[in-house]
Amino acid sequence: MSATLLLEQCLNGMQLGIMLFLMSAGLTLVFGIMNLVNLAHGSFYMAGAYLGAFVYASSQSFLLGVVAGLGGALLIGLIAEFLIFRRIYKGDHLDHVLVTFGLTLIFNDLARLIWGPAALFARVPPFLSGQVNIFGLISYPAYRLAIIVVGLAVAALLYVLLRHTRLGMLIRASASNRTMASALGVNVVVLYALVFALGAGLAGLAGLMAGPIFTVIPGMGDNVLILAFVVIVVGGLGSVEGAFCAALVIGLIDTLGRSFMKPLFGLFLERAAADNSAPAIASMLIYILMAIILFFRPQGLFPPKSR
Amino acid sequence: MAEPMSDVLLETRQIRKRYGGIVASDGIDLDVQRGSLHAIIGPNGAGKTTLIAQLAGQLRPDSGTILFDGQPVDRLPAYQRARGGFARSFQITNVILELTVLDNLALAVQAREPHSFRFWTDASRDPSLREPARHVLDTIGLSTRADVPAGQLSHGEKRALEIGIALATEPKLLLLDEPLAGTGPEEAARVVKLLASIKGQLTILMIEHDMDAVFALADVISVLVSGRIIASGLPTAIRANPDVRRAYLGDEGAA
Amino acid sequence: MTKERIALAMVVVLALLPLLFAAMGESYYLTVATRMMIFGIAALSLDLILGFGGLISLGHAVYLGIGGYAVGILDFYGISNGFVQLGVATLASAGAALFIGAVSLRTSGVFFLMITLAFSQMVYFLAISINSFGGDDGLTLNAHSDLGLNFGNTQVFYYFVLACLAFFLWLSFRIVRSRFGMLLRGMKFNESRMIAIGFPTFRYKLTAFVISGAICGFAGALLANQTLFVSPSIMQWSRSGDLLVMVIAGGMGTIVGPVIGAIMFLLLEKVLASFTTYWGALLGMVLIALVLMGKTGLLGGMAKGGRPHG
Repeated sequence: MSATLLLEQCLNGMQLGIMLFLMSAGLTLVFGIMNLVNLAHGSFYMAGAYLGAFVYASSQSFLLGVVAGLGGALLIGLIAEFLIFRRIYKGDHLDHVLVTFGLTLIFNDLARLIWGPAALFARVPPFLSGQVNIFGLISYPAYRLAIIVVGLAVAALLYVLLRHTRLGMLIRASASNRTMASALGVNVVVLYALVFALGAGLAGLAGLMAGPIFTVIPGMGDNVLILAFVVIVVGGLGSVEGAFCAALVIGLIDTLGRSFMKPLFGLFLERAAADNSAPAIASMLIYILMAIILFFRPQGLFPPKSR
Repeated sequence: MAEPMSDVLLETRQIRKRYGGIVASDGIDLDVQRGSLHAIIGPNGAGKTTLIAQLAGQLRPDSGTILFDGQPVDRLPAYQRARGGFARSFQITNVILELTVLDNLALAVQAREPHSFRFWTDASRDPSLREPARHVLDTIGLSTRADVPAGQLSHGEKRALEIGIALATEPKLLLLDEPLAGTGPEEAARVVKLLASIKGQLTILMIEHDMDAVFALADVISVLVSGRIIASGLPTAIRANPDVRRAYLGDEGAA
Repeated sequence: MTKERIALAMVVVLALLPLLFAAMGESYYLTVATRMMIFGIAALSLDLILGFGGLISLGHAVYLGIGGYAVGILDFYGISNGFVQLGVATLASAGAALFIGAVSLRTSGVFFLMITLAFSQMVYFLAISINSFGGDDGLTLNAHSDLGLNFGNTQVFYYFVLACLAFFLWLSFRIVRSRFGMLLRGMKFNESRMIAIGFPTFRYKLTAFVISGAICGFAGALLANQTLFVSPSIMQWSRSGDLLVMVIAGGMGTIVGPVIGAIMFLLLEKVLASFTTYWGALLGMVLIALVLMGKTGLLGGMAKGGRPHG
């Protein structure tokens, strides 16, 4: 185990964390404002990945791919909001679960219908396919580094949007107090649609970037969705800042756990035992972390200030 | 340790509670005599409901002590206080609308038992739950409505059931948070009659806005203004108290 | 007709079903029907906490997995005694439910939903990561649980599962009518009131959660016996979603409804799957349509809990 490996794994962990943040930000806002549990949020992630990879491959234009992935997810989110979600905001959580579970099934089958059950190849654009030398210490894939940079930039943009614009003020106000927005005389229907589309777009961006790293297959959004749930539960429901911190922590712990648990266990256990138990423990790490945090702070680390 | 039983059932010492800048309880001292009906009156926002919630254990005071039967209870969670003999009714009717009137009461009777880890006997046919529940049903005058879902009761009937649930736990101390809230004159009369009938059987601490009811029922009245008890005493003394007249009765008491 | 009568009628019909299949010469149907009954037990266990406790668990399939793996792992180590296997499966699921419940019941509503989902995912990934027990590919059993019955015979196994189903139906009816069941309902509709009259609600909710997990784990052990195979996919999150759908489609809080819901669900799955591979999408559309039209619950079902009281 060397310092360079540690640095590399830290970067990988950040990259996973950033993706999780992009997934969670929309999810946590949509919950905070509309009180909606959206199991179909992973479908926007999947849409971003599929549309991005497909349009890039058929048009040979990376830019078009990005536009298709991001815009496509956003548009699908907007349409789904208009057709279905706005009808169930007032329903209870069980209604949300049934409808969005149903939507997930539909989207997964739709992807299978259009692109088949096998994985779709997602290409890294040539200008990002090389390695980048970081501080002369390690060489790191440019694409992964780009994900981190783009993700941080989007997080910063989101921060500015939420903290320093009128729209952001309204979004935050209604996230901490749902009746507030209507009291302020905001067009709630439009605000909800905007927030929903924003969330879908962010998830689409995460999927778009994830395409070349993970496999683009039907149902790819589901596992990420559940990780995003862990993130927003740990971060505090409705809190974007909490989601950011929790996403990075979880990305880092998961990645470092998977790569260093084995050598670490090797120090105490026989090799065979370490080889067997380390991956098992590593796969459980973030959930154990979640359990510990929730045991002491049932509201998560950074619950939004209410009232 | 044979301590003489005090006449005071509930005693609070310097209870304080603030929400941000608002002081809801500003050092409240209260003595509730055993067997009395003690009313707390005060203008809106004086901190009455906050006080009840602290007594019943839904809220924790920032500082101060609550003694019940001479024992400090401020560290006990709400359910343990209830088991120790506190019962509260809520200002906003808080009955189980989906269950029948009798089931609501039977559950409250069940709450007196040491535990409910009993998976076998049919609770809806168990006389040890149903009979005490029916007895309370008679007391609150809802005998004919036993099998009606509580959600279908009139507002006045719900208020009576609200008090009935508290009674069914056989408390030593009944905390009533505006038992007449939202009732019309007829319904109010019905609830007052009910309270008059149980008065003396147990200790009652009541918050109420309806001055007619308060002066008709109360043995002792305390006046809470801005989180402070400004006066405490017999109804006649309170009526005559110049501070009270100025602070409270002055604008509302004439009505 | 009371719920008990419906349950009794259902059990009688199920008891006669093998005769019909034998007359039709379709012994394969017996296997399908056995699977339906096993999922019926799982759905019934979920109803105890969902329909009566108002707890939306989105990770209930995890107990199917734990029960199944308990049987698989004991079999792997050569322990084939059926009492041990079924006992360990039930206890292990109860233990897991105790842990998951102790954490998740400290929260409520949507937190609860997400945490139960997350923990089921944890066990799912755990099963994938342990290569000794087959990892992703699953674990094939050497033999059926040995209870002195020939589980290899589909008829025998069918009647054993039916007996279990009948037992759990009876048990659940007893439980929901008991003091414990009354309290469970009281907590579902108005937990703060139950606390105010002196019930320490947490321990009762946790108990319900553990009972429910234990029964579902038992169903998992049956499932492993039927297929002689367990894999992580039996506790995939969508499986938990399916269980929720079974309960809600059949009627929450009716005990027998969810069993019928499970049978209908698997029947629909079989029928649709014979027409198209995209039956999931069809199911999804049905779900959305049902909710948007406000029609859920074959047997009516009880009022949903969790709504603020006005």
